[in-house]
Amino acid sequence: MAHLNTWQQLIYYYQHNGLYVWEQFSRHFLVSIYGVLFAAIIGIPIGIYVARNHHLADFVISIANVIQTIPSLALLSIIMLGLGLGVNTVIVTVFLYSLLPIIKNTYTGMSNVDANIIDSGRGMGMTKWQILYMIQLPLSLSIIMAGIRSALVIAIGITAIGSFVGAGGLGDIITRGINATNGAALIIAGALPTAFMAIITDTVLNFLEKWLQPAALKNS
Amino acid sequence: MTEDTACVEFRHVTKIYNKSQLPAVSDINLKIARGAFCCLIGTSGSGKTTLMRMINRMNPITKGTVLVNGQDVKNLNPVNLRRHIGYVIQSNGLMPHMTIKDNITIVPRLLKWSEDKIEQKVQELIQLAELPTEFLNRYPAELSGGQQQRVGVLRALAADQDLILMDEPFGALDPITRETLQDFVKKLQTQLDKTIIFVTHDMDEALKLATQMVIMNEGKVIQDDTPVNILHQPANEFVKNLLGEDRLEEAQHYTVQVGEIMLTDPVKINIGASLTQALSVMKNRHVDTLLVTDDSNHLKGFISVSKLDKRYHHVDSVSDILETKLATLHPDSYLRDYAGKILQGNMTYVPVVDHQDKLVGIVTRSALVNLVYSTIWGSTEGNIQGADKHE
Repeated sequence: MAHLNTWQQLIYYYQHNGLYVWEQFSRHFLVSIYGVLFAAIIGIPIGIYVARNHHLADFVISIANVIQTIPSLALLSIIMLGLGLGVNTVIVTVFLYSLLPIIKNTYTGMSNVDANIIDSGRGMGMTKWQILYMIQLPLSLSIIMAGIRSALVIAIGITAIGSFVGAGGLGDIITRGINATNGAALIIAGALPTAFMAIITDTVLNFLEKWLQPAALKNS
Repeated sequence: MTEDTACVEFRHVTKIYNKSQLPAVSDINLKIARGAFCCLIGTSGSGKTTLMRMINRMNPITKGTVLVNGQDVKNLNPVNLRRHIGYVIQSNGLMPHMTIKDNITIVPRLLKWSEDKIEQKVQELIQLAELPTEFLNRYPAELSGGQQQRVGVLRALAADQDLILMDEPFGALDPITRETLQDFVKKLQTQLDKTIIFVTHDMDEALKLATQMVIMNEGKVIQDDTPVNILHQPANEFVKNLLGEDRLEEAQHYTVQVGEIMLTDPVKINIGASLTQALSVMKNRHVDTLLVTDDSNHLKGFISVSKLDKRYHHVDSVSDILETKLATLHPDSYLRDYAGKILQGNMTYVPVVDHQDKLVGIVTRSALVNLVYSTIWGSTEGNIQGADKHE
């Protein structure tokens, strides 16, 4: 194949391994989604809780911040010590990295809801739960979505590194390209769909975020 | 409105906020009658909002008892209590993500009313507020500040709450809008017979709306009385300062009663008298109308010289040309409530009758004009237009 240039090689690769790339693509996507989903399940309630208990906010958010500062390869390795090689390690890593944007945005969104509106809700006889789902969540949903969006974009990048612990995904193709001589085409073959995935996810979630914004506030 | 059926009662109520040593309100005793429009007024930090928020348990009570309709609020479920007390705050507190209709129906929906009942209530309320029905599908941000607060008031009435708490509801509005909304609230209160507790720091607002005024300072009630009595007898210097010189001066006029300026010897004639007698009374007293009374001095109506002239040759008794459509006053009414009407109309005098409908005197136009000149226009010359509008 040495007579082909890089782009021709790339097209050749996709023609012969299209199904494989697609498999890795969906695997990659699912690993990212799972990690973020679990982070959302845990992180949103934590965000709501710290918004109600402001004194805990600094503490919780700084813990999430510390996690964020650990290099992803290091975090993967540390978790690998516990969970071994495989996809679970990557999902847990994605989960940990997603916590910060999700907790932080939930906290911000909840704290930004006008205190007067909550006061009038309480004054009308709403229970805490009703205040949450009738006022606070609808008004902060778009900000929470923005947190999930940035978490997911980060997750897609981390999953690419996840191939080092044997999780598969598009990272596998990239790694193979790095190890091969003249592997530029392979690197691009893996990196291109990864970037594509990140951009599409970002766009779709951005749209979703706008859509979730309360109708009355869309113009402002 | 009887004193013993207090709608809200405070008994030795004290509130101390967590971190402070000084009580925000201390040892308050206060009764607010059913159907009252009670204004809590004072400088900021006087504890008026704190006091009000203890009624629906938005603020926990440190010491003492708050009774709503005779029940200790401490024994009531706070959520349920609040659903039955209307609540309006300064910044309207409308939910920005809900339409006006959804906003209005929050409490009925919390109370699980049927859809039909809610729909009916919404129509009733929107008419009451004189807002177009298409507003129902708009969002609060699409309404002006005054309209938003109108909706805020409606929302507090939506579940037929009898007691409504308002915390400086019109503080953020421009003076003209504020005045319209004050009239609106006053109208609602009298029409629907609600009890309103209204926190404000605007003295004009309080004087205009209140039937009961509670003046507070540093967590204590300084004076609790009707606006008229407070203007007449301010409890101390603080109240005087709060009222201000101008208002105290104006108050002189404010509190004059009909009985004080009426003439007690009206020209009258018995209903059984003949027209000839009537004519001679008119001639002697130089008047063109006569008030007609029966034997026990009950006012029956009046006769005028023009009608007498026309019918003189056809009938012969006063009762035949009697006109019964007649506006009257009571001696204990306040002139401020009627002066405008009398001056604007073309009546030269208004008969005054007591509660048994007995004629006791008349208020003449000239007496009224003299009073108005000497008390308001005389003391604040530059304010003629303002005073005019006030009436």
